[in-house]
Amino acid sequence: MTRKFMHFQMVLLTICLSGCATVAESLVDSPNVDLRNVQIVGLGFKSQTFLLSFDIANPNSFPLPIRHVGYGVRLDGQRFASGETACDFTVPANGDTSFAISVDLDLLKTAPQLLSIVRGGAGRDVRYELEGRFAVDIPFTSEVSYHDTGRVRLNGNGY
Amino acid sequence: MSRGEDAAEAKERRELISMISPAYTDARGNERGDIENILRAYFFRQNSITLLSKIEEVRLIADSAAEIELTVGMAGQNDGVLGFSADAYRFELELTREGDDWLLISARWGELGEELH
Repeated sequence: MTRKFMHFQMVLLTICLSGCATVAESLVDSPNVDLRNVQIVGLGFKSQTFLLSFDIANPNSFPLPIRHVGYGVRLDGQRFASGETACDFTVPANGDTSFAISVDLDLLKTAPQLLSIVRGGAGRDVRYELEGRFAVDIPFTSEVSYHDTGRVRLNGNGY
Repeated sequence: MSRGEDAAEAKERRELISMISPAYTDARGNERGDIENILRAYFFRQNSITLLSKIEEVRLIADSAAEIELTVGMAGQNDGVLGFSADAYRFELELTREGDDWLLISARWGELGEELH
């Protein structure tokens, strides 16, 4: 084994193997996430299906491989949808991309007031509040939280 | 003292980054610049998480390539809500010899017990 190779190992030992190295507690800056669109896919009496489309911008100088998304959405101040889902996409360094989540809801049970907004509000803008977390596929990275408020258009496709 | 420590850390960081081959790529699509930026972030934001680690195996391949397998664990509490913040990872580093230097040409990693990619 050459001296240089041993040197490589020594640097590894110094940087991260010695048992006392420290790394970032919050390595990743929170991405900016916008709820771009709420598409009404199916609107039944007992269940309603929506496609939530998000834009995500990565302020970090390295790519963000996203493996899991947790989300909570409020529309017009009322809890609309929440959950978590596995995913597999990467937001480029200092770049942006988009992703979508399909959700099945029973608004009659969970938020009857929203059902009337959804039934009558297709095509109009509604106030939203969004919060959640991402699991990022970078070693020793804490989950990254995000929060956003704004207005989003409910698109009905004829509903 | 503090300036000395900062300088030492900067030197350490530069030294580590200089050991990444310009041709570095990995299965996740990272190139040298991406790894460099991740390492910078680790160094600049270092806090109070302690790493415990162990070299599992070193394999020399035909005198011009080598693989290092290591396990790295993080001491402290995992506060992830989604349950996807692992406390220990296994790394496989691929090194290539360029002149007198050994450079990192690729790496795979994954949570301990899971498939590496």
